[in-house]
Amino acid sequence: MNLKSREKGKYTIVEIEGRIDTSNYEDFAQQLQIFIDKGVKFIVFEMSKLEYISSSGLRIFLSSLKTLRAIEGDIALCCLSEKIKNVFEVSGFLDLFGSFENIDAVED
Amino acid sequence: MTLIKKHIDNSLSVKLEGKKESIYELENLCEEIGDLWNLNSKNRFTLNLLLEEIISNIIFYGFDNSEAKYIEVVANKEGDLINVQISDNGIPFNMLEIESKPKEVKLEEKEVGGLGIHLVKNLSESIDYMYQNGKNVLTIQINIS
Repeated sequence: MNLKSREKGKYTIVEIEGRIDTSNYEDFAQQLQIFIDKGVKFIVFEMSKLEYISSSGLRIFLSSLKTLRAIEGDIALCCLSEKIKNVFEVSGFLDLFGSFENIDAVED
Repeated sequence: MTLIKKHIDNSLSVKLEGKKESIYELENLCEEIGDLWNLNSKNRFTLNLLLEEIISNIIFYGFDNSEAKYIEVVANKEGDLINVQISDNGIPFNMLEIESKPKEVKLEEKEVGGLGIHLVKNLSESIDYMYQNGKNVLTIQINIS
């Protein structure tokens, strides 16, 4: 898994590439915590290159959303492949997150 | 590297040690099975996800420290269905007895526990469980049509 980030307006856009599973979800959680510790409150995950996610990765999305909402921040999702979207949907997570159709729709 | 055995009836079988590192082998294992059966990327994804959820649950919660631990996976393909039997010699556990999570709950009520089992129940075509000869035997079907 690789994460690449950039700023756009109030948002930090985090591009996820590869897989988030039992082998690396702790690493994913640590990387997100670094963003939050630096004061990032609004994250958009750009997920077109996310190939695979299991429940261990989904849990990190949920716990990060709870953490950011508690400080009036938020997480939105963008560009999910059908496979990833299906896992979020079946988990009941899709409606919990805001979403953008594409990265251009994220306000500057 | 775990060896997949191919049997005369076209089924495949793999024996995994009951330790965390076995979970890390599943991606390659599913790619190998996917190649053998020409599965598309969606079906490889589902196979990988179901095996990861079931096997990590067994490894993290299903074993005490006493006996030699193992998990055996046997898979076969019948038309548009893949049958996967996962057996282990751990503590008796029937995931079908775990209540499935309600889908529509508020964020603050949403819990992280039990999500893996929820995914297995919702992404499998069917699930059967039995405890037989000291082993948990879970059989799932995946629809690949």
